[in-house]
Parts: sequence; C-alpha cells; structure tokens
Amino acid sequence: MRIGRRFFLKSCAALGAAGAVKALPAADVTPAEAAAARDGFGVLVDTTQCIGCRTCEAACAEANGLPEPERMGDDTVFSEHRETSERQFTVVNKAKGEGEDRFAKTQCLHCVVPACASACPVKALDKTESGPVVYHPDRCIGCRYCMVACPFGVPKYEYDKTVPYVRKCTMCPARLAEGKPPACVESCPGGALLFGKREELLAEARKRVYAPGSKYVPHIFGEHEAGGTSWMYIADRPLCDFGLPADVGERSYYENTRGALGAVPFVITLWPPLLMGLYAARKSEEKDHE
Amino acid sequence: MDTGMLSSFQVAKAIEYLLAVAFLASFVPFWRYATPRAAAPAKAPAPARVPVPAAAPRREPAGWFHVPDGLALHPGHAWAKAAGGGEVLVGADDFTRAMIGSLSDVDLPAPGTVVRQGDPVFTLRGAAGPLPLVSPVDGMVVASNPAARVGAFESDPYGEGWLLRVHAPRLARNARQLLSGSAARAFMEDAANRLRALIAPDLGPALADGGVPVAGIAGEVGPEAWHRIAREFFFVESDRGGV
Amino acid sequence: MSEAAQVRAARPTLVERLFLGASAKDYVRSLLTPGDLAIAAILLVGIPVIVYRFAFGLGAATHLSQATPWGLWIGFDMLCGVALAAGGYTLAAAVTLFGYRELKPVVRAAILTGFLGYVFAVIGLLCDLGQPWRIAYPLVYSWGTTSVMFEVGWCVALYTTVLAVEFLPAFCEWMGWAFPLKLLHRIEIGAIVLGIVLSTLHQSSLGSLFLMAPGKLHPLWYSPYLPVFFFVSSIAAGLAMVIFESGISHKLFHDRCDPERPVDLDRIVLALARGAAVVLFAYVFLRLQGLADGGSWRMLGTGWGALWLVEVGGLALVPSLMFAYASRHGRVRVARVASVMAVLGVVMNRLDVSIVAFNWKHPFTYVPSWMELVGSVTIVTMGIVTFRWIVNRMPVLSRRGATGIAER
Repeated sequence: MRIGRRFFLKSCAALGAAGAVKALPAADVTPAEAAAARDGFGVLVDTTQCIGCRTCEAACAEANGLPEPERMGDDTVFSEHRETSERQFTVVNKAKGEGEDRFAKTQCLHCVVPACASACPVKALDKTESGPVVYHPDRCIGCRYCMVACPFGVPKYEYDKTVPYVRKCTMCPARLAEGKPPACVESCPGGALLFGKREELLAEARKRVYAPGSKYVPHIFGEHEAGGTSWMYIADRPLCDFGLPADVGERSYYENTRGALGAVPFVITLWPPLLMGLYAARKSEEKDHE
Repeated sequence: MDTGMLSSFQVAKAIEYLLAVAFLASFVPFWRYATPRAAAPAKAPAPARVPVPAAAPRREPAGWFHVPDGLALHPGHAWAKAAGGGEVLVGADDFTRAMIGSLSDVDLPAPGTVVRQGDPVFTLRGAAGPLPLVSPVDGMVVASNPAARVGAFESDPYGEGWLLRVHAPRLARNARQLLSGSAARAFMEDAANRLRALIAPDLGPALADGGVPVAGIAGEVGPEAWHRIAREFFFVESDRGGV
Repeated sequence: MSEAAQVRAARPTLVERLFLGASAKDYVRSLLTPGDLAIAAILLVGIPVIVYRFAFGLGAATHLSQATPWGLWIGFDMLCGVALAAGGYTLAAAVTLFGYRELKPVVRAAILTGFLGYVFAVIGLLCDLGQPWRIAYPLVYSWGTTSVMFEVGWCVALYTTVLAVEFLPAFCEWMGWAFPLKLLHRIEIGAIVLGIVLSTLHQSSLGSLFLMAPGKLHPLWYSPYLPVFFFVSSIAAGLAMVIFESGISHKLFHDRCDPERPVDLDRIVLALARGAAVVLFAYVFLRLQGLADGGSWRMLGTGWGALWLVEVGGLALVPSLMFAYASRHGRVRVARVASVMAVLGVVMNRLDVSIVAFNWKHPFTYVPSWMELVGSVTIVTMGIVTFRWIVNRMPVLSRRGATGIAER
C-alpha cells in the first residue's frame, strides 16, 4: 500500500485534533471546581462542641428517605468504630484516647477537587459550583472507580440490589438551593456544625485554633488535605483519634492522574509519524535490495 | 531536616542514574547473547530462475511424475490408501522415488508407534543421504512392509512398495489435508515445475531438451539445493551428513 | 474418505462451512471427546452462575465489599485479558512496520487471540459492572473527560473495532466475499498504526487507573510510572502469549495448519523469544527504577518484598534469561516454558496491583467467592471454545478453509 503524503498529513491532523479535544479538560480543574473553591459552601465541624447525641444521623436519614439509624439513644453504639454505609450517609463516632469523651461526625468531605468526580467516566459524581459533590444516578454505570479513588472511602455501593447505585452524603443540594443549611447542620443542638462559605469557615477556624491560649490542636483538617475539603474539622486532640486518615497528602488526587492523561494527545500525535516513518524507511530499504 | 531530605533525594536520583547506566551497559551484551551465532540459511539469496514456458500445453498427465487414482496424496509426498477396517496403507510417492533413486535402507517405526499427520514418520536412505518423510495421517502403526527394503518401493511405490499399515481413527479429519484425483495431479505438476526451476542451475545440460531426469536426483544436486528440496518439498530438515 | 478428499467444483455452502463438511449428526458425534465433555461440564456450571449474578446482583454472587470494590472479574478477566491480548498489536507491528516477515504465519492467530481476548475481557466487565446495560454510557451519554477510565473505555471500544477490522479479511475469505478484501487491504496500514496508538494508550491507562490510589496500593507496586510498566509488560505478555498459543494450536489443531508449519514455527518461536527476552530485560530494569524513584528498597525485606521478588525476579527476569538462552541455542521447548512463566508473571502483576497489594493495609479482606472463580473460568472457557470454532473453520492457521481446499 502506498502512503501518500496527503494521507499521512491528513491522518496526523485528524488524530492531532482528536487528541486536542481530549486534552482540553485535563489541563486544569473544571470551571465548577474553580468556582466552588472561591465561593462554595462548606461545614466546619468543631468536635469540642459535639455531645454525641446523633440527632444529625436521624435528621440525615429523614431528609434522604433512609431507614432510621439503629440504637438511637443507646451509647453502647460508640464501643466500636462505625462506617457510613449505603443506607446511612453519616455516623458519629467516639474518639479514641484519654480524657473527656469527644465525638465526630463522618460523612463525605466534599473535596475541593474531588478524586471521585475526577475518576468518574460518566460524570455521575460531579462537583457543583455551590460546593456539594452531587451524584447523578441516571448516569452511573456502576464501575465503582469512585470507590477506588476516594482516599476517605466515602462512596458506598448497593451490592445487594439488582439495580445498584452509589450512595453517599450529598450535602442536601436541594436545601442549599432554597438557602437552607444541610439537614444535619440545622438539627445539631450543640452548635458543633457551622455552615457557611468555605473561605469564611476557614477564617473562623483559624480564629479558634490559633487564638492565644486555645485548647485546639494547631491543625485544621481539610484545609489542605487531598487538595482541600469543604467539610473541615478542628479538635482539642489529635485528629487521627477521630479516624480521620493522616496519610492523605496535600495534593488533590486528580493531580496523580493529570500527567498520564496529559500524555494522551502527545502519544496520538507522535506515534503515527514515528511508525509511518519506520514503515517508509523499511519499504525504501527493501526497494534498494531488489 | 532539610539537608537530610535533600541528600535522600540525591541518593534516589543517583541510584536511578546508576540503574540506567547499568541497563545500557548490559543491554548490548544481552542482545548479543540472545542472537544466535549461526545465521539461518533462509537468508540465502534466491537462485536465478529458469524461465518456464507457461503457455506450453502439457501432453503427459503429470509431467515427470505419476500419481494414480484411488489414493490420497499428502503435500509432503506421502500417500495414504484405505485398506479396510479403519486402516490405511501409507507409502511414499513417485516424486520421492525419483529423488532417492535406489533405496539402500529405510527406517520404519515399530508397530504401536503413534504417528501424527505432518510429523516425520519414516526415513528413506539412498545414495544421496537420509530423507525423512512426514506422515499423511494420524494414528498408530499396525505393521510395516518387509518388502519395502528389497526393491518393492523402487518398482511399485504405490502398490507392493507400501511402507506402513496404520490404524487411522481420524481419517475423515485428516482427509482435509490430502489431495486426490485431478487435484493431486495438479499438485504433482506444480511440484515438478518448482523442482525444475530449483535444480536447473545444477542440471542445466541434462534438461535443456526437456529430458526426464535419471532417478536419484538427490545425488546430482549440491547440498544447498538438497537442503532446500527437503524443506520445501518434504517439509523436513535434512543435511547431507553422509549415509 | 474419497468423498471428503474429492475436489469440490462448487463453492461450499454455508451449512457445509458451519459443520465442517460433515452432516449434522456426524458433526455432533465428533464433539463427544473428553476435552469437549470437560468444556461442557464447565459451561453447565458456569452459565447458570453468571445468570445468577445478573438475577440476584453482585452482593449475592461475589465477595466484593465497600473496602474492596474491585475483585477477580476486574483484576483477572479485564486487566489480564487485555494484557494477554496484546499479541495482536505487537505482532502486527513487528510484521508490517518492523518488517519481520518470517512472523507472518502467526499474525492472524495473534490477531484472533487479541480480538477474542478483548471481547471476553469486555464480557468480564459486563459481569462486573453494577449496571452493565449502561456500558456504552461513557461513549454516548455522558463524558467524564477528566477520568482515566473514560479514556480506557474509548480506547478499548475503538481498538476492539480495529481488531475486528484486522480480522475481517480472514472472515471474508471464509465466506468467499472478494469485494471487501480489496478495500480492507488498502486501509490495513492505517488500521495497524491506529491499533498501536490505541494499544499504547489503553494498555498504559489500565495502569494509570491505579495512580488514583497511592495510599491504597503498596509502595513496591505504586509508582507514577505505572502506565509505563503496564505498557511494556503488555508487549512481553503479547509475545509470550503468541509463543504459548502457537504451541497449543499446533498440537490441537495440527490438521488445520499448513503442512510446512512444523519447520517454520520453530524459527518463529525463537524470533519471538528474542524479542520477549529484550523487552522483559528492559521491564525488569524499569521496575527497579520504580523502586529507586519511590525509595522503597527497604520494603524488599518484608513479605510483600518476597512477593515482589517472585513477580519481578522469578517471573520476569528468569524468563528473560531463559528466552535469551533459548534464542541463542535454538531450544524451542525452553522458550515455551519461559513463555508460560512470563505470562504468569504478567498475570501476577495485574492481580497484585488490583487485588493483592491493593488495600495492603487490610490484607486478605478480599478473597474471591466460588462464583467469581467459576465465572472467570467460564468466561475463559467460552473464549477458548470460540477460538477453536473459528480456527476450525476460517483460514487463521492455514490458507485453507475448512473444506480442505485452498480458497485463495
């Protein structure tokens, strides 16, 4: 087969264009992520104020149509560490360690640049401009890559259903749209949950944590973890006592794959001329031998 | 500590570069080791081809070589003929006879040997050297022909000169590889043409007038050509290492 | 016998093509061999298991959990299936672009292995997806362009199509359709280059998937260069699989092969062994570079380190040396053994990255359920059966169609 120069150039152009299209979104964060980083909402969890009443668990269940949390009012539930599940989007755990009882609520942290949303091949998980990482069940194919990607192990899967979906806290976007805080925040009697713009919450957290003579551990979990999260925690004892992972790093997890994704258009552009060149060189060498 | 971190980074980089250098240094010797010393003879240039008059009408049924009806020919020049009871007689064809000339010995497998179509099964020895042949069928050897050694092969390669009796349970399947009737004759003609083109440089004068070559072609050609004949016509490797 | 061996003046009919020229009764009777009965037993158990999985969900059939969302069907059927199907692009490149003409007899079988490897990897994926009827969504419904999985989906879909196109000439020859052959021949080079580009992308991307999990994948395996490791090892896996498959095909299908194959096949195997030796040699050094880059030398002393040494030392370095030895001394059997070891090494690597060393801080939380094992075995068996069906009919191992006459 003769490789005309025109065919060669046309194929390079076509592939280069295809590569460019694929390259664009991989170059930076999405517009929604950028907007959310500036004015998105978040929640500050001040664990020194949490009394472990678990009203937030009940409010969340009611707001999301989930079954009532088990053993409400029964403190033996704190004897072991609990995880969220496909039927419970938030749980309160007691912190390990000496001293007074401390409790912390766990749920999706709604990262600034979420690993799950970057990982999702159909954008079923998506960071919205207002802050929550929402789930579009109409798009989900059930590949569970979001579960592999999330460093906090948040997304849970409905393995027991024949039409399964991913389930996690969505920060009540419908309520946010009406100007109301998430159900859990509104229900908290102890004032442990503060709702507001992430930037303002950070300022408040810094005020509390770095005030002279403050009892807090000098660290705001979620300020930088995994590139920053919208739900942040402050405490008066080491945050890993609450089950928050210490080894998550300060880069967004999307950064880990950006290099690999960025290489795609280069491969698409470079390989064809290299390979065609090899082919042409070999063909001409064969011609010389005839 | 900053200086501590820096030096461990430097150490990591140093190791990486050392590894890269070590790889480059060992790559060439490794490649040299993996490449076999003796170059394969397949790289030999193609011999000059004697132009064969394509349009000349052929009078004889199969040119130089004869193939009768009623048996099936394997492209490796062994034949098989049904002998009843799920057994076949197996032998070598006229082409092979012309190659070998007078047979000095023949190595036949013992009864009970399992044979497979396409795998070497017996070896004919003539003045030219040993020539293995591949089996036309799958099966088990039931008997071999004692008369083959004493001239039956040269005089009647398709009848009394049969070589093996083989029990062949997969005959219908094996038959897909075999040729008979006009297909076999066409195959033999093609073999004759290819052979002529191949050996013409060695036997030029004898063939100038289209004469039929004497038996024992194998003895008349050079070792290169014999090696090629064994590969291309009989699908075996045979170097002329002596009788 | 004389009937079957007769030259057919007329072209074989479709029924004759399907039943290999035998009557339906004879054909069914020819299927009653011990091997076929074993296959039937596997399918008899396996297909109901797969139906059960679709009827009752993943929770009922698998041991997948919230902590281990990916199991055997992704780790083995998808990742290993794609890696071992790499023979298609490797050999097409070697023959057409790099000019290794002597490998031509095995190209078609390699392409078929590749095509079926991808098809059955996708079938494994269908078993694993929570909503498999939505498998085409990343292509047609919603584009998650920041996702490596998105790129994998597109590349695998496109590449399977390319492989189908590359195999089409064999199919057309079988059906006796001459017209498409001319068209296919003209786009052959373009298809091969496209196939190499796509293969580079998705073989490496399957590794890139795990870049997202630095905390979960053990440091001996995690590296920013995971895509490079996966790509290079896929080349080795492809070459080793072609060596392995050609040996098996020659033994099982020798009545389908061209008669000259016994002599040529050895040379082909040794040439492939040479290539595999070099690629594996480079791969071992790349893995060492990964260790250097991650600074994880000390972990070699742990149990994980022993696993790593088995995978990279025993099943990559050792086969590399064996291939080199086999190539130098013409020892085909050594090459065949080495190919089995190399294939096992790549399989082990994929399983380590996706299952064993994944979530290494909570080891052994995932053990495949018996249904997952049966499902995987069934999918592989279906692939082998399809391979055999096609090879027995179409000109893959030889230039002849099933009815005994050269159809070209």
